[in-house]
Amino acid sequence: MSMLRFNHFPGAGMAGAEGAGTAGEGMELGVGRRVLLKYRAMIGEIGPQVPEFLPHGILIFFGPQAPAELREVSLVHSGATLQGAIEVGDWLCFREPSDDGGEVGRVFTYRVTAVGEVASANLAELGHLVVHFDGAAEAALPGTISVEPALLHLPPVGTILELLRLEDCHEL
Amino acid sequence: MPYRAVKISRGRGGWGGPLVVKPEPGKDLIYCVTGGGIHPVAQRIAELSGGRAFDGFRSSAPEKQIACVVIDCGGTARIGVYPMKKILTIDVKPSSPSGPLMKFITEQLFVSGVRPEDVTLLEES
Repeated sequence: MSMLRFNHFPGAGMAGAEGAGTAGEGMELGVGRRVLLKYRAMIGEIGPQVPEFLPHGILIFFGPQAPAELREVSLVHSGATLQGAIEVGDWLCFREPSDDGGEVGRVFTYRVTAVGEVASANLAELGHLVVHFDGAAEAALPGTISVEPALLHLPPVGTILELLRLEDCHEL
Repeated sequence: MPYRAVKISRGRGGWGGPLVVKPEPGKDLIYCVTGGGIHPVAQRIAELSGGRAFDGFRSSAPEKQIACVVIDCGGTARIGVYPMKKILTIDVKPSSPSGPLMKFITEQLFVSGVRPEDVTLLEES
């Protein structure tokens, strides 16, 4: 299954900045699995040249301190502390703000299929992440990650960006 | 200190260049967007050329003040954005042109795999 609706799970369905704990905390799902939240930030700005990358299936993220010329091509987010390296099998999750002011907007989830060797360092240091929505088994470049499926929807301003890992947890 | 021209050659596995960087009054920033402070390559360019090392993640400056940019890009964004703006771009990683912006990445604008020892005064080289 390529799309999971984490908001069906208890405590995981918030769409606003308030959430179920801070990044790094494990969240019990009650069925022998838990969510490890590695990164969580809010997209606050979408550069005017971001759409030019969409036909290539690429989104570029930067943290809040990115200089102006890089913001033009980036989704600029609020930044966070990375709680553990990005790994194949992690989930990239976009929690969109709701259209009608309700609590929960749409949630789009992508599975990480490849991680470039400097991708985690870039994210930790600069909030910088380049995502190829190509499902590749090997990252195209050291700074990129690949995910599947193809990009379903460009996340709008206000979207919460998360990287998380679902872990089996046998010691409940 | 007067400004001097420096030559920046590709390092092992690198691509492009060599570039010649000579700061000018009002256009003398050695603009470092590597994160983690001023990269040794940017420091070396600044010392030899008389330009000012500048951390693009800590402060902002108008593009027209940039003599050259030092990046550590493994990929898609920084490697393309600065050449697209016709700014001389020095990548400390041995990257080759790639990504949606690759058409902007030329040997006249971009050099990669650069180490401090690949930066020399133009007269010496």
